[in-house]
Amino acid sequence: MLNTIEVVSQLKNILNERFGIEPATLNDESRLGDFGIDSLHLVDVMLDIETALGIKLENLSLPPNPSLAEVTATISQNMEKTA
Amino acid sequence: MPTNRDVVITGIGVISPIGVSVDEVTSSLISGRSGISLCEGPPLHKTFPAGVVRQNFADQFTKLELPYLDRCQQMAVIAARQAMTDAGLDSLAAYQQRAGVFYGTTRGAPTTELDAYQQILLHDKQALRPFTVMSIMHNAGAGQISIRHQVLGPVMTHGSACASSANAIGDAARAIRDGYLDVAIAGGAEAPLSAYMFALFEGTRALAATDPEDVSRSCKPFSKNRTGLVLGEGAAFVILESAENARKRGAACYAALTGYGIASDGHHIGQPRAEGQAAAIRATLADAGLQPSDIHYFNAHATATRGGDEVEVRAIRAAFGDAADSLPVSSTKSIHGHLLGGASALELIVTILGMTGSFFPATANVDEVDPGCALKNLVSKPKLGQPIERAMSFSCGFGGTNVGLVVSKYREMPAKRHAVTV
Repeated sequence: MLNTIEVVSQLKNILNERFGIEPATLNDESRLGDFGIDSLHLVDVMLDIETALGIKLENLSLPPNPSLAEVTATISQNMEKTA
Repeated sequence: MPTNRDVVITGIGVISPIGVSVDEVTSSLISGRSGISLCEGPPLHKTFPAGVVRQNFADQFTKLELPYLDRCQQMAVIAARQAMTDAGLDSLAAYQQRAGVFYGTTRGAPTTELDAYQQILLHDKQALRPFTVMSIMHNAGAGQISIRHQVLGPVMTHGSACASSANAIGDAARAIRDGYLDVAIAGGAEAPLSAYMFALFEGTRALAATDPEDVSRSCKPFSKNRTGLVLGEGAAFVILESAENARKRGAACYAALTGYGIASDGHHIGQPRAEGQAAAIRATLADAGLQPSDIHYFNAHATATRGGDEVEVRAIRAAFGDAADSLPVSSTKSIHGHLLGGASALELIVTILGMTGSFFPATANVDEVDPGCALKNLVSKPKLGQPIERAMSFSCGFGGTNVGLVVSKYREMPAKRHAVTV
């Protein structure tokens, strides 16, 4: 069972590889919109997370301009549901 | 609403096989330097002569921008920005709905599209990446330009095959002339140099054979030994505005856009008809209020296909009558290739540069003129020191849309000058 730390690590990795965002600049409260991540970038990230973690996310809905913590929570909640 | 305002060209931006700036393009036109070289289109086995822009533009965009931008859109955005900078403009937000983008392309993003098909057909993907639809749609280039320059009026995309960007430029000019807009970014782009488009055109058997001695000479419009067209890539834009607006902000201009004519063949989806082309030329002259003898240079569509060039020469003879044999005519596709949706915008720019530089651009690679294409004043070498008051650029598309544009010297405003002087 993957923990939150691993999810955050994978998220930061994907944001760095795909969109050039330095992991060190991100913390839990960081609003991804402030880094230029729009809703389509987020969908792309969630699809990559599915591949990276070997999971299927049932519900991809996120609040507008979510924080890193909110994205992590959405992923974790989805994983608990399908566990 | 309709008025009759003068429309002037205050900025030019160009990414092409013969140069990625106005100065480079001018130098190439004067020297006759060809931008045609050998190009691969994997997984096709053959190599093709093509007008290649040997530059990767991806490094001019962030990783956040790139997923939305096929090479076509990258070139469109860069060329449009170049034109805007040339005109001394950046954001058009202050114009509200009186600024527009008029864009022409035939395909949009064939390389990204081919990759999408592979994902579905070969990799069993049930959904594509979220950006794909927005990067391949025909209006992607227009949309991207409008976002970057805050254009809040009409943002339109024309698809009339090889006449697309002339159509776009003409409609933009009309909107300004008739008082609906004050300024417009108008032009086109195409990035066809990959397997999909090579295979499409190879299927028509209309692509040129590689010249056995010099690949750069593979495109031979009007020649007895012409073998077909050479595809090219690039983007070309002009900034059009009302003379009134240009004066108000102290801008200089290259020329006025004084004529726009459009007529279609109603004949065949892939074969041209001289009557439709002649009608378009006549409509252009009429719109400009000119007689045939008033045109000092004609930039032809002539793609170097066996059938097409001959049909166009018949149309020129029919429309220009007695003036046909003194009319200097050339097809510069001979050195830059056929940019499809971007072709007519690039060729209008070539025409403008010839007029402002007082030279006739040439049809390169004409060793012997085909008797069926004989016009007495075919320009086969760049000719300097030629005063040109008015010139016409002509384009004809698959499906039969034919468009003519006339540009004229405009002495009522300061003239834009560039570093390369003739």
